[in-house]
Amino acid sequence: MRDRDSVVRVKRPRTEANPLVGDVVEERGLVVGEFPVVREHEHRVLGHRSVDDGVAVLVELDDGALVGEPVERRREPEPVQGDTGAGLDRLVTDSLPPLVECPPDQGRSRALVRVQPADGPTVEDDGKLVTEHEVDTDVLAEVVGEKERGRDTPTEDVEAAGAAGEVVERELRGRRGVVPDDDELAHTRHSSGRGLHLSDRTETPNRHAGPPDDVQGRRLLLGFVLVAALSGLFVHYGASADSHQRYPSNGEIATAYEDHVGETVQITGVVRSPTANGSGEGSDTANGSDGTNATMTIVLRGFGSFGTLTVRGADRTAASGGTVQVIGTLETDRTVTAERVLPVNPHSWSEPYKYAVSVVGAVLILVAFFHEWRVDTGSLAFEVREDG
Amino acid sequence: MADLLSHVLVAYMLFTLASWRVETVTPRWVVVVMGGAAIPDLSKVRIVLAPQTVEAATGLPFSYAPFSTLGGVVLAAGAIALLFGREHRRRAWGFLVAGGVTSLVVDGLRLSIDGRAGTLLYPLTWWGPPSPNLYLTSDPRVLGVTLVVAAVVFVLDRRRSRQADGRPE
Repeated sequence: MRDRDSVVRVKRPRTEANPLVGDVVEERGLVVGEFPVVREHEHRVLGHRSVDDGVAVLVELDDGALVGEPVERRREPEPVQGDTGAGLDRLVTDSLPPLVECPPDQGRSRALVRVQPADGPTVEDDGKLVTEHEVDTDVLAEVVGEKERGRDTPTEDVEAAGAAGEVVERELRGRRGVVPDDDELAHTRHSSGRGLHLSDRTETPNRHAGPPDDVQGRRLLLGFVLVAALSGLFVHYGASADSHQRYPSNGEIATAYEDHVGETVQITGVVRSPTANGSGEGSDTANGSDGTNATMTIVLRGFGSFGTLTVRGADRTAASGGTVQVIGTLETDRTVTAERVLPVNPHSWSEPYKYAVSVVGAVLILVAFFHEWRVDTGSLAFEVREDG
Repeated sequence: MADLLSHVLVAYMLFTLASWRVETVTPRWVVVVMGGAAIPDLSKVRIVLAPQTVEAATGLPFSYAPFSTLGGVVLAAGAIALLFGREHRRRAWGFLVAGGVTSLVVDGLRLSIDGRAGTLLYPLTWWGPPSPNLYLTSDPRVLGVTLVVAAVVFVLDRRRSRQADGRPE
């Protein structure tokens, strides 16, 4: 390393065996040929001015852009700095590796990239994210050149970069452990095309790692809120439905029978033994038959443990196993004198029929739905089936 | 409530007919409506997990009935819509609600012992709209009629789309 070479100082724990560092390097492949050190106007980075707002941007260079000006940067051991990456704490909020965010009292770590406040804008303040095509090669070359002139000491490190805006943030997020264990930056060259261009790594990998996590997090949060609200309805309904019923029903009768004796009640029961009484209209095979004064034994639906009740004076009954709704007067001896009876499920097969048919309905929904939609395993979401 | 198959078929019929007039209603959204039509039937979860069991476990009063109400449909549809890709969610929510409301209306037509359709509009109101007492779910004729009408709509829709884009099939 030459005297006047600038240095990108990086911060990492001294624990050489940290597997995370090796992993990330393998994954990301520090294929940056050079690090042009560019200046960033604070406003571009985080939109407000602050001493700590400087940020480093790692831009991939093509040889052609800086002929004869290799910007080889080696990491060299640095003394522990007092400000070990203090500026990063606020810059890199989302997924900065804990390595860098270690508390200040852990003086055993060194700065990966030291952040220095920017001196001022170097690019027009258009406030837009600079894309690959928008990169002003002159600007980049200029600041790199300035850097190369060795104006700064080797400890000056990276200056804030200009015009990279959001790219800068993403880039930083992806930079965990860029230095391999041998304290050497990878020098893989990655040249594709002429001129300067932002590394494609600034665009692709983090797009899947960063914002989508936020989106999925919000999705999960919203889902949680909706389910919580729905649960609130379940509880609220359970708590207040009784008071809004015109008549006491199964629950109240099963829990406090005596309190409702003499009142008009509305019950739903499963018929145990329908018997015709007087009219001779047989209702064992009843078809919602019209007995004039039928009696049946029922079990309160949902409260089978309460035992049986007798319904007298029913004008209609259902077959054994069927279901009836009854409005009538609750008597003392577990009897209801019916005013109206509605055989909801007149036959014993009525309820199984409804469930069987409903299962067919559910299958129909699934078949129809997945004919048009598919599960995208990447986003864990239903997406339109293109071949549907 | 009407059985799930009838709910689904009614939603299919209504929104397939709508798709003939309204461009945004396409087959892929008709199936979402059909799914939404099942939301009120989610109250049948009680068969699997009785509300009394939940009450005993949590110590709170509990009822699945809100699934069969407007509020439950809106919230459940929201939760289900989140399963869709981001750009589809709003529309999915709308069509799911449409399907759920369709089923609530269908349920409001059935026979009721007290002449009321139940708390369909909860939590806006506990008031139950008057029921026209049109049918009994357990009556197979209800499904029979629904099936026939749905089949007619299906055939007409097929014929129509074949004419429209000359698709073989």
